[in-house]
Amino acid sequence: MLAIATLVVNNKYTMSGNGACKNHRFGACMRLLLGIVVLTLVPLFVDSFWAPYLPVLGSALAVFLVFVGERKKADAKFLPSDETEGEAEAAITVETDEELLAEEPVYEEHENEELEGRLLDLEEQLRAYKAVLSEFVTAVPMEKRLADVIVEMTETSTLELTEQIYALAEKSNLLGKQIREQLESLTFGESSLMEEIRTLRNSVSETKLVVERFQEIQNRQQSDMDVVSSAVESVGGYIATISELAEQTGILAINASIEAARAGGVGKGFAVIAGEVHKLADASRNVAQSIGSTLELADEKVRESFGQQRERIEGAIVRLERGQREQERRADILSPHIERLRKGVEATTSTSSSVQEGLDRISASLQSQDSVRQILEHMIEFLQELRHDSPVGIEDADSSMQKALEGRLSKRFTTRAEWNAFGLHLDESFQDSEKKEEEGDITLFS
Amino acid sequence: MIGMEKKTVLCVDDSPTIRKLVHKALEPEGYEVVDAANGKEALDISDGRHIDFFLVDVNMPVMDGFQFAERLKNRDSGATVPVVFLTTESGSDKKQRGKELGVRGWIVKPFEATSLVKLVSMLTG
Repeated sequence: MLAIATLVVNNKYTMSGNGACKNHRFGACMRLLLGIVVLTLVPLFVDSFWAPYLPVLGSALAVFLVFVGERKKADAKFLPSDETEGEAEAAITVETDEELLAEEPVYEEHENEELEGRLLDLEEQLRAYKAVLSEFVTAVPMEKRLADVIVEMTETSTLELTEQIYALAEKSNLLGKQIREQLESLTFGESSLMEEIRTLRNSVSETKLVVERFQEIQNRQQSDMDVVSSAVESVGGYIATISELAEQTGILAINASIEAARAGGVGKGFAVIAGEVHKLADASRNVAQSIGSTLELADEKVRESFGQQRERIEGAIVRLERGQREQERRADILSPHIERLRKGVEATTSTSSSVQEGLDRISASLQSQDSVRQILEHMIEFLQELRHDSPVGIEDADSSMQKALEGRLSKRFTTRAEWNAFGLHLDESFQDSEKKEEEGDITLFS
Repeated sequence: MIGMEKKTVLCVDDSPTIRKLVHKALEPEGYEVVDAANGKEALDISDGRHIDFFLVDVNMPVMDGFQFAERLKNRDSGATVPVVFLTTESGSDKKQRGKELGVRGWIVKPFEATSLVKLVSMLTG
């Protein structure tokens, strides 16, 4: 009966423990069938020859069946096949923890040893994982401290950089504006160089007109001179005629006096008239000579005056033409300068807009730097969140571990800010190098 | 802006760099820029003084941009003042949420000073 009971229990266990596996199910069914057959045959043997041997046979059969069942169960547990794995998982979901605990399997000694060995390995691994996790949990605040240093330094340098860049841009814009204003005042407006050149060119044109006027006056003077000369010549002809007439009148008067003398007393009155005519002739000749000499003098004076005026006009024309050429030369010299100034104004305007564009690009880069800072903050937040969720608490890490980690971390430090973040003193050699760096010393290696 | 009363822009961002860049972009154009590091600070500031324009980051500690916009929307005085988000976010769902809260514009960082000035001028003019 003991064997039968064991057989039934074993069958039940085998079915519940491995019923999901097809092969095991088949084996369990076979064992169940065998149990039924045994239970059916028991009454037949109760009073037969085999009756005294039944407990022994039953016990042996039960032990055998239990061994076979557990062996298969162990095989299924440690060497699961692809085919059976899914069904085994399905079976696990059906059974409760209480059922599993209640159905504690029975192991052989060598199996127990094997399981214990595996458990010890797992325990060792878990201990190692815990140690690493403790270090990680302890290291997170240190990482946070370093991240804070990065954030602070980035923020400070970015703000400083922003201030400096905008100050430079402002100065550049101011300088550009002043240069532009100066150049514009030289290039454009009422008192600009360009206006000066325009005035200069107008002046040249006016000078040309004056020269032309002088030349016209000169030409007119010449023609006037010719008219005067012609008039003087004509008057001279008249004077010669008058002189000749006076000469002939004088001869006539002499002849009349001679004839009056021949006539005697009768011719006395005629002699008087002849004398008067002679006087008139003399007077006419004298007047003609006076007119002639006066006219010659006037002609000479007029010629002299005309000559002087001509010289002055010619001198003025020469000077005006020289001034005109000088003005043209200066205008020609200044024109390219004005053109360069105009281009300078354009270049200054272009430079100002380039500065603005550059400023926009720098501004974008600064914002990217700020994004980097934000990303770092997010990473640290996430690490802290993981630390918070970790099954290993900070209390698991003792102060010696913290110190050891700080020591490992500080070996990597190269900046004063890192040392300061942990309240540590600078490494001596590092202090020396930094001091030298601050002092601006130069070291030459031979 | 010459001869006109200065418009006041409240820049709400937890990043000092962004706030400084906003100052540098708007002050030369004649705007007065006031700072707040989060939505709550912004609400406190806007309680005490007149604001013409809110330039707000989305992700901030204490009170984020959406919460700020919602609170502002529920206040009578703040309902008409334009709010524009200046953020690294660019998802359409978030933009839609902003739109539903009455936000007038959305600038994705990094921003350009000239574009910001144009937008502020357009919405405060």
